[in-house]
Amino acid sequence: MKQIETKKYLEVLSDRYGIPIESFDSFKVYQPNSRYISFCPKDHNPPDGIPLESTGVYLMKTRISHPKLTTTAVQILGKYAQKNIVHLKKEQVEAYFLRKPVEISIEQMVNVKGNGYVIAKYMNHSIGIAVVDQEFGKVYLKSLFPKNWT
Amino acid sequence: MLDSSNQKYIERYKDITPDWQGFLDSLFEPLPPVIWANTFKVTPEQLLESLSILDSQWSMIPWDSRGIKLDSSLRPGKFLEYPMGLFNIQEEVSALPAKVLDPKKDDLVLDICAAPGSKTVQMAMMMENRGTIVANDIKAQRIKLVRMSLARLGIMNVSTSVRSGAQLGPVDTLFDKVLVDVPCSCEGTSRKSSNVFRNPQKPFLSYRGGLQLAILRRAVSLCRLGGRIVYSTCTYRPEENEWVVDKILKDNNLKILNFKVDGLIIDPGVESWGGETFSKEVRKSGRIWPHRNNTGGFFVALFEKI
Repeated sequence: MKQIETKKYLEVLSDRYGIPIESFDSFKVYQPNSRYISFCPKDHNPPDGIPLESTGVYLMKTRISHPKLTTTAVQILGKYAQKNIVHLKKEQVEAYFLRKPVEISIEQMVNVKGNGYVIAKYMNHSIGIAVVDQEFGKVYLKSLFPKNWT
Repeated sequence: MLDSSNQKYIERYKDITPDWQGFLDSLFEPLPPVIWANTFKVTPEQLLESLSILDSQWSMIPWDSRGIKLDSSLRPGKFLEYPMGLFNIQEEVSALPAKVLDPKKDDLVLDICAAPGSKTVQMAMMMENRGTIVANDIKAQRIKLVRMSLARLGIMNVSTSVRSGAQLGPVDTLFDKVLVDVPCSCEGTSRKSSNVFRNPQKPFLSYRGGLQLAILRRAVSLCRLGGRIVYSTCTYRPEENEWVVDKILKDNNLKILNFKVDGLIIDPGVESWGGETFSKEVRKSGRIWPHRNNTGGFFVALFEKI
């Protein structure tokens, strides 16, 4: 797997979520294909001689206009996030996992700095990514939870 | 339930099974679901608090502090904590091979027949999501299942490959530990799928463990001197269990080790079968009968490469 220069991707995460770049000190970042970058522990060293199909987990989807953290990466790195976080209530989490739009209150928006991706949290666990949307004076989260995880 | 032809088939185990009637009674009893706390995210105690289930509906697995056995009425896949990746669902006895192999975070580990991935996940947690596991399976579709579990649980210390286990490698650095949980006739899963005895899988009935021996031999070649290998199946058939162990010991590059797991009743491997007498060392392997621990059936053997 080709290890890559990570700075530009880590800066995206730092700018959007306040995730300190030092959070990545214990990881290696790879480019397995043109659509994603992935990451794994720094001490992960598979031997040569076995052709590998994957290493670690996907970190970000990159071949889109706004690179997006994967749900797996959110669940690993979300604890370091400082901003663009929405804390959900139980009934909202159920809708979020079913990929239904979730109406959220002004109070839940207090840590959201503008439109775009936010990290959804429940009971102090980072559970995934969503997009903030507004319609008819109401604010919604559009769930980006993976279809095949439920 | 057993019909007359399968009843006749099952009788082949009568002389090697402790408490024969207890075994028969257990074969189609539903298995209680077991969940395993994802210790990167929660402790078992925090998980129980989050699940908010009645005290009468759960008990801890006596031999592994991460495991929680649930009442048969509960459907753990429906809990919110499942998509949150706070636990994995894995039948109790299938967690035994990784427990016996005991991988550490500095180990280089190979899971040679990894799919669907519950043992890979288990080993990753034992290694604290550090170091290196290579998870291999012959089918790309099945390795996809492994990757889905890894993604949901946030497990990062695994690389995957798609190869026949019998043809994997060679490698430049040999593995410290190898898990060889081979494809088999799955008789020990009758409590999950009652068709196992109704439709015995003919390929495994006919060739007496040839493929399994080939995969195990390959695993041995990929393991370093002093490294450890666990061979396991979920079947009762000695043709796929003790026969394979006996044959690999005759290669003279492995010694079989005793093992015990406090809280689990493990019976010794059988010394003879079908007119063939095996090495006495084969008794160091372990049979887990479904009625002895209220689990499925399994077979485990632990080796050290010499």
